Amino acid sequence: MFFGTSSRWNPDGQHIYVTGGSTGLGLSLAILLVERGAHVSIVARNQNKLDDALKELEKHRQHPNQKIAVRSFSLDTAGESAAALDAVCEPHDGRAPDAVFACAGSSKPKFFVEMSAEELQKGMTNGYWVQAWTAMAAAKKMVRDRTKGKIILVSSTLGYMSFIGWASYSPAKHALRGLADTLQSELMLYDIDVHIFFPPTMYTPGYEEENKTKPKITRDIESTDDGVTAEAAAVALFEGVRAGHAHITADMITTLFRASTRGVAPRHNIFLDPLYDMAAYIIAPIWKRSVDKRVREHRAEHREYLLEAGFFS
Amino acid sequence: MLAVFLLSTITLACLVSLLAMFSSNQWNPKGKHCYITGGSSGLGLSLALLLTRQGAHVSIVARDQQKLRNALDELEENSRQNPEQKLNSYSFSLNNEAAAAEAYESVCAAHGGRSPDAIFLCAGTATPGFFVEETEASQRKGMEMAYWVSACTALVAAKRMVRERVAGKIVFVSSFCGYMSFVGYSSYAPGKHALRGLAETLRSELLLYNIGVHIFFPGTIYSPGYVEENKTKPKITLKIEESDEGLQPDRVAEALLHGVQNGNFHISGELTGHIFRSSTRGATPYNNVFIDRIYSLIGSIALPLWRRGVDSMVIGHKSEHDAYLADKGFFEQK
Repeated sequence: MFFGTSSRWNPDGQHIYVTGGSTGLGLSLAILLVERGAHVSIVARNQNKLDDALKELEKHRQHPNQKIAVRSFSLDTAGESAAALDAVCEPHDGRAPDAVFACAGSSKPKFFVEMSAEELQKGMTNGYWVQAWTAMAAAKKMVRDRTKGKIILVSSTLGYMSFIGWASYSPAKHALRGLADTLQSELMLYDIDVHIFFPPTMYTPGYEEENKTKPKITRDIESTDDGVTAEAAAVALFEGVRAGHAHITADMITTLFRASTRGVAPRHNIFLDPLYDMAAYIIAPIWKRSVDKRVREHRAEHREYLLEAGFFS
Repeated sequence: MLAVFLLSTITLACLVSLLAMFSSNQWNPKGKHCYITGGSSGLGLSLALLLTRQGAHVSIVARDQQKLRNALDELEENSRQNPEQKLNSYSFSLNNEAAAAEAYESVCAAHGGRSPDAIFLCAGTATPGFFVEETEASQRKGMEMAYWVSACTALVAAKRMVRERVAGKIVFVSSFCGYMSFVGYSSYAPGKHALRGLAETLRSELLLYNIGVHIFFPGTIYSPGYVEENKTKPKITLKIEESDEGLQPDRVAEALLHGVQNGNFHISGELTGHIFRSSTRGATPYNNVFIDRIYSLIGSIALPLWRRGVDSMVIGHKSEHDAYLADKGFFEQK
């Protein structure tokens, strides 16, 4: 399934809505889009960060009639997300955006047995619902306006696989895949394209935040991973949308996962994808075995840790 | 060349499978306490009957008291093997941690407060529909019935098993909709995919405590739940699923138990399931390193073809769907 291969998607003059647009991936993407002449609206919670983001975006303005706007909204509920969407559409005659990039999200890795149910739920809110509500509001608005737009969700490598420490995050990122794959099929009813991005570790403020709670064993397992900068991730995401890819990745490891978990998701390349799949067939079990070994070796130390934390009392 | 490759692969595969059959420490339910959520109907009930016949102590939890009573009667009449077997049923909701903890507590009470040896999370329902007709309530309900009813019990169980040092098993039940999705499942596929994410995390993490994790991906099961879900299912979704053959709950329960006994992490029940599993494997462990490869090869040809068929059905449905929405006044609302 290839969409738009005849004319590559060009954001010039389009209205693009980016959630989580004041920092990290969202901001880098917003800058990139402004540079290409798009009207860009970003939504996030913190007004100070939004003000800083606006100053940054203005530096990249291409012409005076580009509409660049920042609004402060929470996206935790359907109502708030719909209100945010309506607010950013107002300066555009209330019309639906041409593209929506749902970059909002955060993570809090932790040991499962130390999590409360609230933390598990918060993980789903901050990893899934903050994007799903925007997708729902955008889909409805685009359908009503008969806008043949684009909806882009942002998952993670942890939406293709998982390991120790990510029990509140990986389910949410997998859920985004479930939603994206449903919508990629369903929104063909309305000529709305759906893409989903699976970035690896991105060196952003969000990454620093998550490292505060991340168990040491999780960090050890990830230590061999190369992360990417938010700028590089934004470029990969942008290029992937332009290439019409349903699933978009920014690094080789995640690409191997994409090719080997593809199932019924569209292929990128009929020759390369099977090669990636074969590589994953060999590499993935080796990696998995080494991760399992590390976890087993960590048992005694972990028992000590739980004892000290008063878990057994 | 290809023939030689295929022949040698198949031969190797057969040899490996034979070896696997003879090697095992197959998990044996006899004398073990098995806790089944959603155990009063469909897959859960069939599983309860099966485990009871194999000599396990079985506790079932569901909401409806009458269904639970009927289920318990069936267990007693058709499956009990010996008088020592403890067969119990409890009526609880499971959609939040407090409810899940209460249910768990009751289930353990009949066994001296000790955690079950295995937990089968069969509770759940699906309510398919069009995404643009969904509301916050229906989306949240979908996640609750596909994901939270299992995740909450898993959280309670993991903590209890670790504290009691019980090297138990937690078995999740996802769906084909946890491997892929298409039109109609926006309230269901995310939750079923989320279960995979949780299971993958816990398979790794619970190695710390010797707790085993499995996750089952059945296709259509001819159960009361299936009848219920078809009430709201969009026509286009039904059309796409026309060619699927579902299975009776008994067959499905057998496949699930078989997979657990074989020590398979991802469990699939029949050919279509094996193909999906092998085509979305990623870093998930193999069930059989050679046969899985064959399924994957079949999948790499069959799945894109199937996908193309689904896409053209959806595209062909556009104008009918447009009329459907217009009829419902969708375009007049804000």
